[in-house]
Amino acid sequence: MIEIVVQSDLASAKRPEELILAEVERCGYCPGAAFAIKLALEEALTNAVRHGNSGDATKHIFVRYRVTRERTEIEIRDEGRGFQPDCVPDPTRPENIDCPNGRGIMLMQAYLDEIEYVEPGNLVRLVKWNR
Amino acid sequence: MTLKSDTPFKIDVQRSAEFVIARLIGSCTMDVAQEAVDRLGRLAAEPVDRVVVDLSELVFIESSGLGALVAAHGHCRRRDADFCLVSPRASIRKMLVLTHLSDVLPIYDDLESALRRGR
Repeated sequence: MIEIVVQSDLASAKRPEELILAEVERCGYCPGAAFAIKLALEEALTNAVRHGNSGDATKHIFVRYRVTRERTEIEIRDEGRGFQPDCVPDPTRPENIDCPNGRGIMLMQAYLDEIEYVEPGNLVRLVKWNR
Repeated sequence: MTLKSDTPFKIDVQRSAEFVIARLIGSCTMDVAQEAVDRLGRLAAEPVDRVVVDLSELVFIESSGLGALVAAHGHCRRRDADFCLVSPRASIRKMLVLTHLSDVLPIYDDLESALRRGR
Protein backbone atom coordinates (compact mmCIF):
# COMPACT_ATOMS: atom_id res chain seq x y z
CA MET A 1 0.00 0.00 0.00
CA ILE A 2 1.07 3.58 -0.60
CA GLU A 3 1.47 5.69 2.53
CA ILE A 4 1.18 9.45 2.98
CA VAL A 5 1.29 11.55 6.12
CA VAL A 6 -0.23 15.03 6.21
CA GLN A 7 -0.68 17.78 8.72
CA SER A 8 -4.03 17.67 10.47
CA ASP A 9 -5.95 20.47 8.80
CA LEU A 10 -8.67 20.37 6.17
CA ALA A 11 -6.56 22.00 3.44
CA SER A 12 -3.67 19.54 3.88
CA ALA A 13 -6.13 16.64 4.04
CA LYS A 14 -7.09 17.36 0.44
CA ARG A 15 -3.71 16.06 -0.75
CA PRO A 16 -4.30 12.34 -0.08
CA GLU A 17 -7.81 12.72 -1.43
CA GLU A 18 -6.49 14.16 -4.69
CA LEU A 19 -3.86 11.42 -5.03
CA ILE A 20 -6.36 8.63 -4.46
CA LEU A 21 -8.99 10.11 -6.77
CA ALA A 22 -6.39 10.54 -9.50
CA GLU A 23 -5.68 6.80 -9.27
CA VAL A 24 -9.40 6.04 -9.23
CA GLU A 25 -9.83 8.07 -12.40
CA ARG A 26 -6.77 6.46 -14.02
CA CYS A 27 -8.23 3.02 -13.30
CA GLY A 28 -11.49 3.94 -15.02
CA TYR A 29 -13.89 3.63 -12.10
CA CYS A 30 -17.60 3.99 -12.78
CA PRO A 31 -19.02 7.39 -11.72
CA GLY A 32 -21.00 5.95 -8.82
CA ALA A 33 -17.99 4.21 -7.28
CA ALA A 34 -15.79 7.28 -7.79
CA PHE A 35 -18.41 9.49 -6.12
CA ALA A 36 -18.61 7.07 -3.18
CA ILE A 37 -14.83 7.06 -2.71
CA LYS A 38 -14.65 10.86 -2.80
CA LEU A 39 -17.49 11.16 -0.29
CA ALA A 40 -15.95 8.59 2.05
CA LEU A 41 -12.57 10.32 1.91
CA GLU A 42 -14.14 13.68 2.71
CA GLU A 43 -16.03 12.23 5.67
CA ALA A 44 -13.21 10.13 7.09
CA LEU A 45 -10.59 12.88 6.72
CA THR A 46 -12.90 15.49 8.24
CA ASN A 47 -13.55 13.19 11.19
CA ALA A 48 -9.81 12.64 11.63
CA VAL A 49 -9.09 16.39 11.65
CA ARG A 50 -12.04 17.60 13.71
CA HIS A 51 -12.79 14.75 16.07
CA GLY A 52 -9.80 12.41 16.14
CA ASN A 53 -7.16 15.11 16.35
CA SER A 54 -9.55 17.65 17.93
CA GLY A 55 -8.59 20.37 15.44
CA ASP A 56 -4.97 20.32 16.57
CA ALA A 57 -2.97 21.19 13.44
CA THR A 58 0.30 20.08 15.06
CA LYS A 59 -0.96 16.51 14.87
CA HIS A 60 -0.94 14.33 11.76
CA ILE A 61 -3.15 12.08 9.69
CA PHE A 62 -1.74 8.82 8.32
CA VAL A 63 -3.25 7.53 5.08
CA ARG A 64 -2.51 4.18 3.38
CA TYR A 65 -4.19 3.19 0.14
CA ARG A 66 -4.24 0.71 -2.70
CA VAL A 67 -6.22 1.36 -5.87
CA THR A 68 -6.66 -1.43 -8.42
CA ARG A 69 -9.09 -1.70 -11.31
CA GLU A 70 -11.25 -3.92 -9.12
CA ARG A 71 -11.35 -2.12 -5.78
CA THR A 72 -9.98 0.64 -3.59
CA GLU A 73 -8.77 0.08 -0.03
CA ILE A 74 -7.99 3.02 2.24
CA GLU A 75 -6.84 3.24 5.86
CA ILE A 76 -7.00 6.57 7.70
CA ARG A 77 -5.50 6.91 11.16
CA ASP A 78 -5.40 9.93 13.47
CA GLU A 79 -3.53 10.60 16.71
CA GLY A 80 -6.63 10.67 18.87
CA ARG A 81 -7.80 8.28 21.56
CA GLY A 82 -10.44 6.71 19.33
CA PHE A 83 -14.17 6.32 19.88
CA GLN A 84 -16.97 3.78 19.86
CA PRO A 85 -18.76 4.07 16.50
CA ASP A 86 -21.73 2.12 17.87
CA CYS A 87 -22.35 5.00 20.31
CA VAL A 88 -22.85 7.57 17.54
CA PRO A 89 -26.57 8.49 17.40
CA ASP A 90 -28.56 7.47 14.32
CA PRO A 91 -28.92 10.77 12.38
CA THR A 92 -32.02 9.53 10.56
CA ARG A 93 -34.11 9.21 13.73
CA PRO A 94 -36.72 11.95 14.22
CA GLU A 95 -35.06 13.23 17.41
CA ASN A 96 -31.75 13.73 15.54
CA ILE A 97 -32.90 14.83 12.10
CA ASP A 98 -32.61 18.56 12.90
CA CYS A 99 -29.02 18.24 14.11
CA PRO A 100 -26.58 19.76 11.59
CA ASN A 101 -23.86 17.22 12.46
CA GLY A 102 -23.47 13.46 12.75
CA ARG A 103 -24.16 12.16 9.22
CA GLY A 104 -20.61 11.32 8.13
CA ILE A 105 -20.38 7.74 9.40
CA MET A 106 -23.89 6.94 8.20
CA LEU A 107 -23.02 8.18 4.71
CA MET A 108 -19.80 6.15 4.59
CA GLN A 109 -21.73 3.04 5.63
CA ALA A 110 -24.33 3.71 2.94
CA TYR A 111 -21.88 4.29 0.08
CA LEU A 112 -19.02 1.88 0.81
CA ASP A 113 -18.83 -1.90 0.52
CA GLU A 114 -16.87 -2.22 3.75
CA ILE A 115 -16.09 0.12 6.64
CA GLU A 116 -14.33 -1.03 9.79
CA TYR A 117 -13.12 0.92 12.81
CA VAL A 118 -10.11 -0.73 14.42
CA GLU A 119 -9.76 -0.50 18.21
CA PRO A 120 -9.47 1.94 19.87
CA GLY A 121 -11.30 3.64 17.00
CA ASN A 122 -8.64 5.99 15.62
CA LEU A 123 -8.13 3.89 12.47
CA VAL A 124 -10.81 3.36 9.86
CA ARG A 125 -10.56 0.93 6.95
CA LEU A 126 -12.62 1.68 3.86
CA VAL A 127 -13.27 -0.56 0.85
CA LYS A 128 -15.12 0.24 -2.37
CA TRP A 129 -15.42 -2.12 -5.32
CA ASN A 130 -15.50 -0.75 -8.85
CA ARG A 131 -18.97 -1.90 -9.89
CA MET B 1 -17.59 14.45 -13.96
CA THR B 2 -14.02 14.67 -12.79
CA LEU B 3 -13.79 14.24 -9.04
CA LYS B 4 -10.06 14.58 -8.41
CA SER B 5 -10.11 18.34 -8.92
CA ASP B 6 -13.00 20.13 -7.29
CA THR B 7 -15.12 22.63 -9.16
CA PRO B 8 -14.69 25.90 -7.19
CA PHE B 9 -17.50 26.44 -4.72
CA LYS B 10 -19.47 29.66 -4.62
CA ILE B 11 -22.87 30.94 -3.60
CA ASP B 12 -24.70 33.41 -5.84
CA VAL B 13 -27.54 35.33 -4.22
CA GLN B 14 -30.66 36.92 -5.68
CA ARG B 15 -32.95 38.99 -3.46
CA SER B 16 -36.43 40.47 -3.58
CA ALA B 17 -38.68 41.90 -0.86
CA GLU B 18 -40.23 38.45 -0.31
CA PHE B 19 -37.47 35.96 -0.92
CA VAL B 20 -33.80 35.14 -1.08
CA ILE B 21 -32.50 32.67 -3.64
CA ALA B 22 -29.11 31.14 -2.88
CA ARG B 23 -27.52 29.26 -5.78
CA LEU B 24 -24.91 26.79 -4.62
CA ILE B 25 -22.40 26.22 -7.41
CA GLY B 26 -19.54 23.73 -7.71
CA SER B 27 -18.24 21.31 -5.07
CA CYS B 28 -19.05 21.87 -1.41
CA THR B 29 -16.10 19.96 0.04
CA MET B 30 -14.70 19.70 3.57
CA ASP B 31 -12.34 22.65 3.13
CA VAL B 32 -15.11 25.07 2.05
CA ALA B 33 -18.15 23.71 3.90
CA GLN B 34 -17.77 26.26 6.69
CA GLU B 35 -18.34 28.98 4.09
CA ALA B 36 -21.68 27.33 3.27
CA VAL B 37 -22.57 27.17 6.97
CA ASP B 38 -21.75 30.86 7.49
CA ARG B 39 -23.30 32.22 4.30
CA LEU B 40 -26.50 30.20 4.47
CA GLY B 41 -26.86 31.05 8.15
CA ARG B 42 -26.71 34.76 7.37
CA LEU B 43 -29.09 34.45 4.41
CA ALA B 44 -31.58 32.50 6.51
CA ALA B 45 -31.61 35.35 9.01
CA GLU B 46 -32.59 37.97 6.44
CA PRO B 47 -36.11 39.41 6.92
CA VAL B 48 -37.83 37.67 4.01
CA ASP B 49 -40.72 35.20 3.92
CA ARG B 50 -38.91 32.56 1.92
CA VAL B 51 -35.38 31.26 1.48
CA VAL B 52 -34.83 29.12 -1.61
CA VAL B 53 -31.62 27.15 -2.07
CA ASP B 54 -31.04 26.25 -5.71
CA LEU B 55 -28.90 23.11 -5.95
CA SER B 56 -29.04 22.67 -9.72
CA GLU B 57 -25.37 23.63 -10.20
CA LEU B 58 -24.05 21.89 -7.10
CA VAL B 59 -21.97 18.89 -8.19
CA PHE B 60 -20.83 17.56 -4.80
CA ILE B 61 -21.65 18.01 -1.13
CA GLU B 62 -20.44 16.26 2.02
CA SER B 63 -22.06 15.97 5.43
CA SER B 64 -20.96 19.37 6.74
CA GLY B 65 -22.57 20.96 3.69
CA LEU B 66 -25.76 19.00 4.33
CA GLY B 67 -25.52 20.31 7.89
CA ALA B 68 -25.46 23.86 6.53
CA LEU B 69 -28.81 23.17 4.82
CA VAL B 70 -30.23 21.71 8.04
CA ALA B 71 -29.05 24.68 10.11
CA ALA B 72 -30.46 27.21 7.63
CA HIS B 73 -33.79 25.37 7.65
CA GLY B 74 -33.78 25.62 11.45
CA HIS B 75 -33.08 29.37 11.34
CA CYS B 76 -36.02 29.89 8.98
CA ARG B 77 -38.40 27.72 10.97
CA ARG B 78 -37.64 29.60 14.19
CA ARG B 79 -38.67 32.89 12.60
CA ASP B 80 -41.63 31.34 10.73
CA ALA B 81 -40.13 31.71 7.26
CA ASP B 82 -40.25 29.15 4.46
CA PHE B 83 -37.16 27.22 3.41
CA CYS B 84 -36.84 24.88 0.46
CA LEU B 85 -34.41 23.24 -1.94
CA VAL B 86 -34.63 23.28 -5.72
CA SER B 87 -33.39 20.89 -8.43
CA PRO B 88 -30.74 18.76 -6.72
CA ARG B 89 -28.81 16.51 -9.10
CA ALA B 90 -29.53 12.79 -8.82
CA SER B 91 -26.38 12.11 -6.79
CA ILE B 92 -27.26 14.78 -4.24
CA ARG B 93 -30.95 13.89 -4.14
CA LYS B 94 -29.85 10.34 -3.27
CA MET B 95 -27.89 11.70 -0.29
CA LEU B 96 -30.91 13.70 0.86
CA VAL B 97 -33.06 10.57 0.68
CA LEU B 98 -30.52 8.29 2.40
CA THR B 99 -30.14 10.73 5.29
CA HIS B 100 -33.95 11.18 5.49
CA LEU B 101 -33.44 14.92 5.06
CA SER B 102 -35.86 14.72 2.12
CA ASP B 103 -38.53 14.04 4.76
CA VAL B 104 -38.01 17.42 6.43
CA LEU B 105 -36.54 19.71 3.74
CA PRO B 106 -39.07 20.55 0.99
CA ILE B 107 -37.60 19.84 -2.46
CA TYR B 108 -38.94 21.32 -5.70
CA ASP B 109 -38.10 20.31 -9.24
CA ASP B 110 -37.83 23.88 -10.50
CA LEU B 111 -37.46 27.42 -9.23
CA GLU B 112 -40.87 28.56 -10.45
CA SER B 113 -42.62 25.91 -8.36
CA ALA B 114 -40.61 26.87 -5.30
CA LEU B 115 -41.45 30.55 -5.66
CA ARG B 116 -45.16 29.81 -6.29
CA ARG B 117 -45.39 27.68 -3.20
CA GLY B 118 -48.03 28.80 -0.67
CA ARG B 119 -47.18 29.22 2.99
